[in-house]
Amino acid sequence: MRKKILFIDDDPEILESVKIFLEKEGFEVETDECGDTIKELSKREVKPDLILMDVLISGNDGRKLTKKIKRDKCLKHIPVIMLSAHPGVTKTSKTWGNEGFIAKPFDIYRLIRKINQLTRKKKYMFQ
Amino acid sequence: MRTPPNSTRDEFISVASHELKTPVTSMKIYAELLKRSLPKSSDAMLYLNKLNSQIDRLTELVQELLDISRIETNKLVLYKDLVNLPFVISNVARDLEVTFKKHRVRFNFGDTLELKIKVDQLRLTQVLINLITNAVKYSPKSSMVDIHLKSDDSFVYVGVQDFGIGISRVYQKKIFEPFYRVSGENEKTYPGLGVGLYISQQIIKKHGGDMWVESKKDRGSTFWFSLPWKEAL
Repeated sequence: MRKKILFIDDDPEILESVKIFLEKEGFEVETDECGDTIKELSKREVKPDLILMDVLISGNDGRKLTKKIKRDKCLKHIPVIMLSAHPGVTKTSKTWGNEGFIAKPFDIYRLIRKINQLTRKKKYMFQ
Repeated sequence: MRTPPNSTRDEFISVASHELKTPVTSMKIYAELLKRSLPKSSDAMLYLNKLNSQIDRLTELVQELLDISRIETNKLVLYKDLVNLPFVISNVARDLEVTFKKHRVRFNFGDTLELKIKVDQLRLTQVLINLITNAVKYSPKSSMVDIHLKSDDSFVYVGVQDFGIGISRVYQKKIFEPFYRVSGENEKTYPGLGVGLYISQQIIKKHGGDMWVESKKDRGSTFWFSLPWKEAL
């Protein structure tokens, strides 16, 4: 079964390019430009296997959204990879509960390796 | 004394370079998608590889602008870890070596196989990449780059030696100035902002060390940097 990725970023271009690439790699990708998906995510029956989250989202804050995910008992098991082009975020990025961080501009294959590593780990944990 | 930073300009550089990173990421992804759909031996693939290397160059320029902005606003922050210096140096050099057409790297570490020191490994790697690629760039007729490692009671010293065109005494301090490009007659220049050595020297100074060059015209250059032992555990 295809792994489901939710990608939250306020830049439509990066959402589109990453979505195309990941879908060619066999993932199912849902995109969100403002982070509103998080509000109704816990009610969904089928949840994403992993969330890609930009740190600074227009009108929202990826760090707060990640903390919210990690506080929610229905969502906290979902690994979150945070992405940012913002200087200096790299080291502080470990404090929001996210499982991974990748700085922009990133190598797409590095992102895929990280996604595979975290989604495999999750599968293993629940088997 | 350095002129006080112009905060509007620095803020602009920081925001602009940050904003440039996202389109660069998309460009790389689309280039990779295109690569997958082209026959490996086609002319189009050749052009695409050139396009890719230009995107990499753009990425590098953006990074340099960001670094300059951080240095000028005193926001260059180091994240230090304990690392084995000979191991880091040889890893960086070996990774680079595969991208060189003819240059090979020799290590002159003596018996020093382990030398642990507290540094920002990413920043140190950035410095090494800068020095080693410069050494290759400025020694087109040679095929060797030597890396030296030695220490005394206070400092560890790393030297990257090339056997190339060398640097006249008059330029030996100027090359560490930001945006300085050698422009004398018969001097070959290379594209770039001319900030690599400035950034490297500032990174080393932030660690409590220094960077300098020993060189003779047409005899090659050795770029040395020192890192204080006090950071070692």
